[in-house]
Amino acid sequence: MKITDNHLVAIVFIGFLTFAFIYGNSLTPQISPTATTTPSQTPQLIGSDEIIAAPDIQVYSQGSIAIVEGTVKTIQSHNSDTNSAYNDATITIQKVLKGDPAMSTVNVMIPKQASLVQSVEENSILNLGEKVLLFLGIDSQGNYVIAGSYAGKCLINADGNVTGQAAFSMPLTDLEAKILAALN
Amino acid sequence: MKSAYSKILGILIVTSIMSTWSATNVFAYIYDGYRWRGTSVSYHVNSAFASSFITAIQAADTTWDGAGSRFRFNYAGTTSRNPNVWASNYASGGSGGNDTYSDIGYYNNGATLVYAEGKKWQSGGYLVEVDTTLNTYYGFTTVGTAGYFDVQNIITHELGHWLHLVDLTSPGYPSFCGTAAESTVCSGTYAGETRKRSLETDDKNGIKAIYGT
Repeated sequence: MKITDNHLVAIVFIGFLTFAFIYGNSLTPQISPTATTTPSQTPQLIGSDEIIAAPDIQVYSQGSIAIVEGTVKTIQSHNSDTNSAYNDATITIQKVLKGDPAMSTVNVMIPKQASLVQSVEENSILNLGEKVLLFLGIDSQGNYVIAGSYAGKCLINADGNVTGQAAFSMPLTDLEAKILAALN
Repeated sequence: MKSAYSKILGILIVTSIMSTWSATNVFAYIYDGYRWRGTSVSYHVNSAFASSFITAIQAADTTWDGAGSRFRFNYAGTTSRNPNVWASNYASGGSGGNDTYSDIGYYNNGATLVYAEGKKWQSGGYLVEVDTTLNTYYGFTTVGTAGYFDVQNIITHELGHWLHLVDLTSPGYPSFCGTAAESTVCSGTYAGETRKRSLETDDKNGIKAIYGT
């Protein structure tokens, strides 16, 4: 096929449209689907935002009340109150890096999924069967909570790596060593 | 013919580079879809706050007011109301929740590594109330006290949430959280930090995109 100047003009035009389309989309802020649903006239709580400790192993190690590794065994409404905005997750502990070494289980208060609207908060949820390393805080009511709301949760993967906040994502053995070093 | 193919190749390369650049040049803010009905919000501050704290809060408000958008935060004075967003009854309308007032309060919520939290209410698709509570388990300062958290720094971040800009956590491009160039709505902070007192381009782009200039 012979390539003419008309072909070149067409290619440039298509390229320009592609560029304009992608660039235009890049200028559009990301908006959650909640904005397009039928709005409720009754005031509705739509989420929370925190300012938390920056993800730093030393800060989280020293600022946490306890640091444990374990598996999420049960989840139920906080204090058995189905109206509560929180659940209690029971963790069967396999290792205590900080805190009472005799702890075999711990109840951690977490938000209910329905109360979350932002993806960043998803990590504040614990799910049944998850193997986790948790930096734990304690609130004024005496409830254990994930330190830094969501930042203190690290998933322990089958390959031996930990994933969580970027600063905490590394082989589990490395993270354990860094935590212990921060505590000494 | 060879020349034509060279031209095509050149065009494709240029187009590809431009498209790739633009696709990755997404502004580093996330707007969660709700906005205030007008272009302002009035807020109160609990009267127990020291005057220096209130001044710092107003400075944070002024920073956002100067971001280049039409939106304004209006300080409406002190109040005896003291919202506690962590209270178990806040979501059901207690502890300052769902009272139509947007307030800044305080509460000792313990060793949670959460220094402040805001909660938002919508009605009819618009924000109608936002409350922010400082966790006074931790120390706050306006004069750089070592080990304490800067009030203006914290509140400038939190007021970003009053606009419904969402926490950013990414350490790399484009939000640069954890670096000197990070957006004010990056969620992590540390004692003594003041860099969130000022807004970055992405923060300004966020408020301007929502409310116009």
